[in-house]
Amino acid sequence: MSEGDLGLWAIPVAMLGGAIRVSTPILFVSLGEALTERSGRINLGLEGTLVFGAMAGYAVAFESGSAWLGVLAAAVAGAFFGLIHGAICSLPRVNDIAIGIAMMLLGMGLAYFFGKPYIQPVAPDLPSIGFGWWSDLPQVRAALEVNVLFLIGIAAALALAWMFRATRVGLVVRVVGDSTDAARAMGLNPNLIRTLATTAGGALAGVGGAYLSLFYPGSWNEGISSGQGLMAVALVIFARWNPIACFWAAILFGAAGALGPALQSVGISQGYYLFYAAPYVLTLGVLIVTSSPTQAMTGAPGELSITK
Amino acid sequence: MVSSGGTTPAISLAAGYGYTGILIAFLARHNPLAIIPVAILLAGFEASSGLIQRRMDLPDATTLVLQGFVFIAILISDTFYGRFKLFSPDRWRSS
Repeated sequence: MSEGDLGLWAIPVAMLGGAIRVSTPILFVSLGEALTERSGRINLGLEGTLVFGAMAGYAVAFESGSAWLGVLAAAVAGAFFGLIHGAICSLPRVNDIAIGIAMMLLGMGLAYFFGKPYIQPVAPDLPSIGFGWWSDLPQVRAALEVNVLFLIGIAAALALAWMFRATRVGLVVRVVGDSTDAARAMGLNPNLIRTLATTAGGALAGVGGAYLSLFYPGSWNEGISSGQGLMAVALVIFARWNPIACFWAAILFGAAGALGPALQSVGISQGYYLFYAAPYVLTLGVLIVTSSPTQAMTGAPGELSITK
Repeated sequence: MVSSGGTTPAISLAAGYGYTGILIAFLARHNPLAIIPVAILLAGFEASSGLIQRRMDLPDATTLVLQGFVFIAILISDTFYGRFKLFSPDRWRSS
């Protein structure tokens, strides 16, 4: 095998690289959504939060010259959107799903409105770490260029899983999500805890947005998200509200998304666009296979409006 | 702020129709007949986009922002349901 020619091995290598590159925003949004849904609310507005976080992160990174300030700004903007959603949904008789879709439109609208002047300028990128030093192959090196945010995402998934399993905060969030009555009996304020969980979830989604505009694809434009925020919401169900499973779901989704470009790079162009549908077909397939006609979804928080 | 004075391609053309539709169903309180006027109102907002860009020199996302605020305001108003005597059916029946 000659240098730089991997033959069919190029497909798994490209899929691995694609999985690492594409999965990060999905990972952050699905972690945020998992946290929100574990507390008993659904925030469909995370798509809008993602897009607004991408804009805010890019704008601040461009104005300040620091990519990390951009990430921070995206997190703050995301937390603000989460706080608004959480506060509105604390009012009686307000539907969290409808408010979520409205917040999604508002977030995208505000991002496009304030983001117009930032379509042309170039902001600094986030740094990445090369884990491919052991390999001589340029493809492997390129695939293993891992962004720091991806590692932070893994750490966040582990931290969330530990929080849910072993800490008081995690227990409080789970109680509020499983039974409002039990939470009230314990002397907790369910609306306050849900609002805080939604705020933290929004901040995570905002960081995912910053990854989109500051690393991959690495520029701000109006088509930046292509629905990743909404797919992440579906992936949370797919991952059964488990942060670690969210990570694997995001990786799987990213790898399936890289199948089309990977096949094209080795010269298979037959039915090329069909492979772009692979991640969605995969998600649908797994949800169908793991569904059960006799029992409710395992691991679903009891107070979610879709499962109640 | 300089607006492009018109056309951003397909992205903004297709984006949001389905979501707007879902929200229209919510605003119409899932009443098929009420959907017609609500849909016409929201379509009016959307159709004003071109004029807003030309006359007021605002970006095309302005209508999306307006839609978002309108939807949130009306959805929040659900919380006032039954709070005011003025809107209670009993008040009008007795007089």
